[in-house]
Amino acid sequence: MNGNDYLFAAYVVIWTILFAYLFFLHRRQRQVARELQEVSETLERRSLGD
Amino acid sequence: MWLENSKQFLATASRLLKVSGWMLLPLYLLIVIALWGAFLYAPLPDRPGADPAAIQALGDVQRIFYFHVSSAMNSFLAFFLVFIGGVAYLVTRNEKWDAFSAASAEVGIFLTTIVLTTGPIWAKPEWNTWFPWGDPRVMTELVLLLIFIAYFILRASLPEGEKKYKFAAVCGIIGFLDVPIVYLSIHLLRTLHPVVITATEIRLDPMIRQAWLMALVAIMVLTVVLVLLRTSMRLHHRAAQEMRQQLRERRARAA
Amino acid sequence: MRQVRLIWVLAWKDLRVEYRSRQAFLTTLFFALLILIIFNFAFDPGSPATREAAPGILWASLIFPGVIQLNRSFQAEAEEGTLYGIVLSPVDRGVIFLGKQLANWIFMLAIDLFILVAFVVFYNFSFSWSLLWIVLLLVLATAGFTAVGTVFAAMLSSIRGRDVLLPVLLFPILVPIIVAAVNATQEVLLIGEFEFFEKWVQLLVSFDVIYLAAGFLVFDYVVGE
Repeated sequence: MNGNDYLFAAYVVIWTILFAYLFFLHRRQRQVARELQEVSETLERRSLGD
Repeated sequence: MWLENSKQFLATASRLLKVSGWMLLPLYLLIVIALWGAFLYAPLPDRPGADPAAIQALGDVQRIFYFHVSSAMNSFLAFFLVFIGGVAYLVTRNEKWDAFSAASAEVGIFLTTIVLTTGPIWAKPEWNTWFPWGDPRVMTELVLLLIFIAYFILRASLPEGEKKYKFAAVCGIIGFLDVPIVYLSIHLLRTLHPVVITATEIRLDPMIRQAWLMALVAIMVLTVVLVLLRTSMRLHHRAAQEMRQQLRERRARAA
Repeated sequence: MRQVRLIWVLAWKDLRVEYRSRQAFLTTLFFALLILIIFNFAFDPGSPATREAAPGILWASLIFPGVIQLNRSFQAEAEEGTLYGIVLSPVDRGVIFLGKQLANWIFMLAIDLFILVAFVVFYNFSFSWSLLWIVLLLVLATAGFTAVGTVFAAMLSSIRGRDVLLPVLLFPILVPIIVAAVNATQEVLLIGEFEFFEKWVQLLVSFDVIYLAAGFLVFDYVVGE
């Protein structure tokens, strides 16, 4: 392996870690979206009730 | 119309979030391919007539070029999306388009920042100057960055509402129209005062082109994913604001 | 034809208001003169280097008063609520834009001409027919400047902090105008060869056309409710 191979390897590691984090963040965002949806539905049910 | 807007925002936002989620894995693969293209696949550029010492010195520096140029081209794409979103907002008056415009402008600023920071690092060894003021592409990027920073300053000084979205759309449209004129003006300036650039000529052999194409596609998908993500987040934010606002109005009416 | 007359009526109204309160005109003019003089001291007065930079100085000292004028042109309208009156009248918004732009254009040209004379005197150029080329540049550059400026000034008239916002929004857009105007002026005053002059004029004209058309189309969204 020459220098460029190691460089490539290092960058792949960096981006792999970054993407793992990105996937995690994305899942969190989906969760927030679901919660907002629930809030919206609750509000709607309540407003029908009164 | 109780909660109608916020329900619409939520539906669109969730859809965009889902789509951007599907694109994450392909994006990861594309980025790895682009890294491979830039670092391993692309040969050192052939510089006809240059002395061996210069070729040795410049060598791998040229690999900055792949991500730098791809980011530059995609920053134009992002600002073009701001323009499209602005026109679409003015025609349809649908707030989703404003969220789309603002998201694209953010991604555009992100990409221009990459361009204007990797640029000098590449230009110093290649052209022997950090910042070539006479280069039309560099100047267009710089002016675009300034225009869209101003775009966000304008947005920040207006409260949420139709007026803000209209003004932002107009600002985005006017700003984007400036791109070709800036480019032409600097291009003309350069033919007038040729900038002293001590570049050795680069012959783009097909492998360099292919590597660059990999980076271009990867950054383009990155741009799209980021725009979708940010649009979705902006819409979620708007939905929450809208719900709070309507709840407050309802309480005030009840009291 | 009716539209053209309407544009003129609107512009004439603004110019008459300006004429009645000459003070604003004189103050703006004085401000432009001050910039010209300060630049002269900021560089080495009377030296060849300052002469080299003279075209840039001329255009820099026209931009700042221009911004002040643009801000002022909608300030009174916003404060007195007269903009509503105009907007409510059965006139196309694009026509209102052109009227406003025309008034600003004429007003700024008047200032520009005075400054040009002062500039020639201060920087020791000679009065010759070639100055007419600079007048042409003034007309074209000011048209583009006021076209973009009128849209932004109208937009910002209802926002607090507009005094800073206007130049922040405007200056980046104006880069091509400045490049074209300064370089064309250099050819007229310093080089004496008109090698690229035509190209610069073309650039200025295309800027004017693009932004007059854009302003005409979007002004409805800027002032309408």
